[in-house]
Amino acid sequence: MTSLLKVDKVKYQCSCGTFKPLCYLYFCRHCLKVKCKECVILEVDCRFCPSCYENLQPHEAINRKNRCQQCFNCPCCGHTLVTRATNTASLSANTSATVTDLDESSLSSTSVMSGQATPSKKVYYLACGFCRWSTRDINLNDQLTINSWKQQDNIHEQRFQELLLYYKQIANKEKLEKDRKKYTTSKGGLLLRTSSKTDKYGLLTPLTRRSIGLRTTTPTSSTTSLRATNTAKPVDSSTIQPKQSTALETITPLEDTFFNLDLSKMTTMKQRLSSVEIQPVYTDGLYPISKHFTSKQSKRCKECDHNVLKPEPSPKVIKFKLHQMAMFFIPDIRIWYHPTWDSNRENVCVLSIVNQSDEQITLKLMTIDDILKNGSSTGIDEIKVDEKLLTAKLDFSGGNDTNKEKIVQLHAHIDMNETDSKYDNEFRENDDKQFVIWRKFAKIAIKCTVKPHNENVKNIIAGFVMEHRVVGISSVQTSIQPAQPEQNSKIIRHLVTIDFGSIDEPALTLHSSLKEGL
Amino acid sequence: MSSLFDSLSASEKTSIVIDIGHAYTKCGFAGSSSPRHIIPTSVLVNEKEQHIFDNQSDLGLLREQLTEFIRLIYYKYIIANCRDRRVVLVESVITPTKIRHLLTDIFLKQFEASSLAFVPSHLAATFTLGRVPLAVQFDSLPYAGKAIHGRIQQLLEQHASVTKNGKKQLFKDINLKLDQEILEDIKVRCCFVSPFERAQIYAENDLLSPEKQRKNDDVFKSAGNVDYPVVSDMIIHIPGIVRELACEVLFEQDIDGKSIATLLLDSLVQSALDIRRQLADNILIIGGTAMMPGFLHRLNSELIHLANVSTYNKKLAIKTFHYHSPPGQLNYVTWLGGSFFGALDTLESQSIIREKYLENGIVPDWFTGERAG
Amino acid sequence: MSSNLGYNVTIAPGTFVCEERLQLVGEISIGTKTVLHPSVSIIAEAGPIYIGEGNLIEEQCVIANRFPPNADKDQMNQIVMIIGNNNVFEVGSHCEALKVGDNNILECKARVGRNITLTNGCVIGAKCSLMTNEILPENTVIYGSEHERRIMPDRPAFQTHQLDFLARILPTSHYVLKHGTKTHAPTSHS
Repeated sequence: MTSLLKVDKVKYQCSCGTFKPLCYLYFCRHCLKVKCKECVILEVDCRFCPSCYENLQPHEAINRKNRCQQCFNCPCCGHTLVTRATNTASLSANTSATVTDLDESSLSSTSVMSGQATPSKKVYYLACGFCRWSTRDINLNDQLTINSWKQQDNIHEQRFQELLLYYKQIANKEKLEKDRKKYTTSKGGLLLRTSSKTDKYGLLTPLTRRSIGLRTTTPTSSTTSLRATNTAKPVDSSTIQPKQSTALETITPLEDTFFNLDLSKMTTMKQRLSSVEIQPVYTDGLYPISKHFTSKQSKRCKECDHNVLKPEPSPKVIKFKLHQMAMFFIPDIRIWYHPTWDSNRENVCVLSIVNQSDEQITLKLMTIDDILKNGSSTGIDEIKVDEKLLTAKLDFSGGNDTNKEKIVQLHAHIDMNETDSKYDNEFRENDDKQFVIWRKFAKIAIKCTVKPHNENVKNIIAGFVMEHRVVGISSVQTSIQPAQPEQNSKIIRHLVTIDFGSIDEPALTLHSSLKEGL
Repeated sequence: MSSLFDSLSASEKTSIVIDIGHAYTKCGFAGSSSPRHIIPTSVLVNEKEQHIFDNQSDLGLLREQLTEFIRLIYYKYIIANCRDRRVVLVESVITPTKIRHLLTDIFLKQFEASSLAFVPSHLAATFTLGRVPLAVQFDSLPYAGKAIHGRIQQLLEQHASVTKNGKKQLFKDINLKLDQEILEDIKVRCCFVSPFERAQIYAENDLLSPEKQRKNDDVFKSAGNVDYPVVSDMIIHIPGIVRELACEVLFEQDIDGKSIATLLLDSLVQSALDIRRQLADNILIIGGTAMMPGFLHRLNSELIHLANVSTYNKKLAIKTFHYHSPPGQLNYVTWLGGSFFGALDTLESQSIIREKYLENGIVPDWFTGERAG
Repeated sequence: MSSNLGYNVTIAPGTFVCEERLQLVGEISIGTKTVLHPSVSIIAEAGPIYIGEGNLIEEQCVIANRFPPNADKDQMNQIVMIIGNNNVFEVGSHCEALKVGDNNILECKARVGRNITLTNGCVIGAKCSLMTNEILPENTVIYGSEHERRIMPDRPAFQTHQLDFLARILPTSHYVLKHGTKTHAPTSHS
C-alpha cells in the first residue's frame, strides 16, 4: 500500500531484456509481447499550439516553422504572454494622453481621465504575468489590432538563399555528370543507352553531349552555362553566382559601454538562445517569441508494425483510440508488507496482485529456481534470468503443500459499487489459505518469504516468474472466412523483480487482521 | 522570392540537420537559414539536468542518454517523424570513433532514419562563404568555454568578495564552488575580452597584486565592478579585474609558448609557402566563445603583434590578416553549412544508407562519393 | 500567544483591521485606508513598526521587527521599522525589512530579510526569498525559482479598486477593530 507512488519498486522484464515498471510498458497484441519505450517507434500524430489548441496539418505546420501565429512567449521568462487592452485618448494639441490600465478581458468603458471629449481607441499590448515584462519595455507601440505582432526576419536570409541556389546548381551538375558517367562508361555504347532523360534512341548523343557541355569545360568555371534537359530553360549562371564573401581587415573594437556594465541590461544565455537568429545581447532587443507547437505521438511496435498507442487526433481530447498499455493485460504487483529484515532467516512478506483487465485471469506463480530447473516448456518463450541482479531468494510458502507452483484466479476489473461481497466466495473456496491471505474483487494478497543470499546484502532485490494466458489479435485472415479477426491466445511468462529497498528499512504497517494470518 | 524557397523547405521529406556540440546542440531542417532551436546538450536525469558528454567512459549510459536526447530533439523540438527521413550530422573531425559508431547505431537502428551523413564541421562552415579559394578556420572548442569557467572560479577566489546572510566575506572564505551554469552566466553577462593594449599593461605591471592596483588606479582605470546576485541569499561582488582577465586564459602563452594566436600562426607556418598568403587572407572564426565581446579584435591584435614583432617575425612573411563574416551568428555557422549540404541532391551519395548499414555495419571514415561499402 | 506579550497599537480612522487570529506585539501604528485581513501577525519586538496609508495586508502575513541574531536583547536600542504607502503584502508573505517604500508588492509566500531595503515599485515574486544585504533599485522584479531579476520601466499598477471593495465588504462579515489606540499590558508569567 505504501508503494502506491513508488513505481520503481516492482519491475517487469520487457521483451528486449530491460526492466521497467509496469506503467511504462506497452503490450503489442499482435506479437503478444511486452514492449518498452525503446521497442516502439514514435510518430507524430498531430501538432498543436499548447495555449490556443490550434491544430495544423503537417505541411502547414512545417511551413510556419511549428510556431503559432497568435500566441507568444515572454522572451524574459518563457511563460505565455497575455494580451491586455487599454484605452487611450487621441493626442490633442495641449493635453497629453493619460492611460488607464484595464485588466485583460474586462472591456468596461471607464472614462478616460483627460478632460477632452475625444473618442477613445482601444490599443493592445502584450504582458507577462510571471515576470511582469511587457511590450512596452522594449518601447513597442501599443497596436490597434490584436493580431499584429509579427515575427522578426533574419537579416541573412537573402544571402543564404543566394548561396543555396548556387550550390543546388553545382549539385545538379555533379549529379548529371555522375549519371552520364554511369551510362556512358558501360562497354559498347552501341546499345541504345541514353544520357539520362534527354533522348531515348541515342541518336543525338554527340549533339546533346555538346549542348550539355559539361565534360569539356572545368566545373568551376563561372561562365559555364547550364542546360540540363531540353525542357529546362537555359540559365546563365553568371547571374546567379553569389558574390564572394569579402574578408575584412579591420574589426570594430570593443565598445566602451562594456567597461561599466549594468547587469540588468544584459540578457542571459537562455534568453539569447530562445530567439536563434537574433540572439540579442541587451534586454532592449528582446522581442515576443511565437509559441512553439507541441505534438501528440502515436507509438508503433517495431516488430510487427502495428500501432500500440494511438491518441485521438483532436488536441483537446485526452482519450486514446488505441490504448494497449501493459497494465490492462498484465496483473499489477505491489509490495504490501515486509518486516524488518533479518538476513539469516526467511522473512515473511505480503504482495498484492491487482487485475486491471476486463477478463478473468488465471495466474501461475513460480519461483526462479523452478524455472531454472525445469527449463522451458513447449509453446512458452524461455526466460533468461540474470542471477546477478537478485540479492535475495523469494519463495511461495505453502505450508505443507509441496506443490511449488501456485495457481490463483483473479476477477476482471469491475466497478466496486456494482458487486456485493458474495462475488468473491466462489474463488475464495478454491484458495489455498496459507497462500492467498486476502481477496476482494480484482485484488488479492499473497504471502511469500524472502531470504537474502548472504549477510553482506545491502539492498534486497528478489524476483519470481508469473505466467498467464493472453488473447491477442492476429492479422492473418483466411480467404474463406469473412472479416473476423482470428484470435490467437498464448501463454506468456513475465519475470518480475521486486526491489524491497535497503536492508535497514523498518517494517511497513499491516492491518492486525492480516497479521494474524502470517 | 522568399516564399518560394520557404515552400521548398516545407516538404515532408526534408532532411534534418543536427549539430551536437559539446555544450549546445543546434537542430533544424535542411534548407533553412537558421536552426529551429539551440538547446543545451543535456538530459533530465532524476529531475536534474545532466550534460551528456560529461562522462564519456560509460558507453551504456552514454547510449541511453543520447537516445533520450535525440528522441527529445525529434519530438519536442523539431516535431518530425524519424522514419524515412535523412539525417545530416555535423560533427567535429576529432570526434572519437566510438561516439560516431554509437550515433550511427542510434539513428539508423533505433530511430530508423533512412540515411545518415556525417559532415565535418569546418568544411560545413566554409560552405557558408560561397566560393572561397581557401580558408583557415578557427573553431573555439568546448574546452575554451570550460577553461574560461575555470579561470573565473580561480579569479573570483582571489579577488572577489561575497555578501552572504548579511555579512561581507571574502570569496575564498566561504569555500564555494560555483556550478557550471552560474559560471557560464557570469561569463556571458559580465565578462569581456580586453583589448590588446590593456592586456599588455596588466601583464607588464602585474597589476593583479592589490598593492600595485591601488598605486596605478588613477592612471589606469580598471573596469567597473558588478554585483552579481546568486539565488536568494548571496551577492558576489565581482571586481573589474575578474571581468577583464577571465578570458586571458585563451591568450596567455603557456609553458610551451602556445596560445590561440600561436596556433593559428603555427598552422600557417606549416602550410606550403605558396598558399600562405591566400590562407591568411581568408580566415574564418566560428564558435560560441568567439561571440564574446572583443574577441575578434583581440585575436587580430594578437596575430598582428606576433607576426610583426615577436616570435613569428622571422618565420612568416605575412603581416596582415583578413577575416570573413559568415551569414549567421557565429555559434550556428557549422549548422548552417550542414543545412546547405542537406538541401542538395548529392546528399544521398555521401550518406550511410540504412539498408547497407544493417547488412554490413560499416561506418566509413570518409565519403568518397561512391556508395559506402 | 498574543496574551503573553503586550501591544500598543494606534489605528487611524478609515482603516480596517480584522480581529480574527490577529497577533500584535509591541508598538504599532497603522495609517489610514489600510486593510488588514484576518490571521495577520505584526510583531514589533525590537522596536516600533509604523505602517503607512493605503496598504493591503492579506491573510497569514507576518510583518516582524525582530532582534538580529546573536544580539543582546537588553542592551539594544529600539530600531524603527517603517513601511510606506500603497504596498501590497499578499497571502503568506513575510517581511522583516526595516525600510519598505511605496507601491511595492510582495507576492504570495515571499520572504524579505532584515537587511534589505525595498525602495519604490519593487515586486518580489511568489515564493521568492531575499536574504541579502542590499538596497533594491526602484522597480525591480524578482521572479522564478532561480530568483532572476529585471528592472521594469514603471511601477506596478495600483489597487484602488480592490481597496475600495474591501472597505465596503469587510466590516459586514468580520469583526473589525475600532480606530483609536488600544493597549494591552503584557501578562506576566512566573
